[in-house]
Amino acid sequence: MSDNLDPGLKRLFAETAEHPADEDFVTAVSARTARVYRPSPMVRELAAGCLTALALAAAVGGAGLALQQGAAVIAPLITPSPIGIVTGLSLALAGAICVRLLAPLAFRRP
Amino acid sequence: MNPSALAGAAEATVVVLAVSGEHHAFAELVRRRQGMVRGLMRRLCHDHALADDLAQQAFVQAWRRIGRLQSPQAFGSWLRSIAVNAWLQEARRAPARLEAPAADLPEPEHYGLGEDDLAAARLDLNHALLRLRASERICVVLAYAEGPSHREIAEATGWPLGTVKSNVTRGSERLRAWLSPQGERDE
Repeated sequence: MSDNLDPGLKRLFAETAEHPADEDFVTAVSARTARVYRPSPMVRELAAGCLTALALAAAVGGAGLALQQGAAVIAPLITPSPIGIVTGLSLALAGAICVRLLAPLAFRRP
Repeated sequence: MNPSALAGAAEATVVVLAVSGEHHAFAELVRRRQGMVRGLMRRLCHDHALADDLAQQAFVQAWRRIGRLQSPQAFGSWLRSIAVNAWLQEARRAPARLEAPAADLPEPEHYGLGEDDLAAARLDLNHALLRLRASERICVVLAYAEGPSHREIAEATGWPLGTVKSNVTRGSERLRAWLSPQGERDE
């Protein structure tokens, strides 16, 4: 430490230092912290997952709305096929699984 | 982990358990760090009951925020920042509670430390500290009693480095003047 401190004061502080320690204090703090609600890490991760899901729902809703507005233009270009529908649903399912698995990692503390 | 096993565990381990919500682990951290926090508050307040109350508030804040602690190894300095902020909040909210009326502060007598009278020397120093402005007092106490660098004090208080340096310098000068024998005193 390169800060200039008065050696006399430094010594005075060191020699008169107090480090009070007793179990009554620990008990008093424990009584107060017991009344404080703190969500467990699992609850925090669930909340983070819910927030992610909400954000995704909003994004998908927005995209759906845009798609609906553009449907008149797009519809004539699409040929319905059972394979296409199954592929689309599979991709959506895979996406949902990925989001569920990755959401907690995104919100995890370093 | 049971309380007796916690007593022998490394602090980083205990911190990780406290982060996960273990009350026993946090109580162990309070047990280990109470000396530092209560000692700091006693330097900053004029009565021990208020100092202990602020120390308790600091630990309660720490319990609320421990989930956001980035590194278990940084627990000590993180806790000190919380204690500093608890005191600063009190200084803003009710400054009169932290001051002793000047008339109640006796003249200091023991700057040259006698080995046999540390209690009197401590009293002199604590009374002299109470004569400093709150911003000077916190900077001087942290610099001399706790040992962090000026930069770390700036981080803990949220003040610019220049402000911290001038508070330490000005506060030290006033403290030295006040604790010097009567004839050498400026004021």
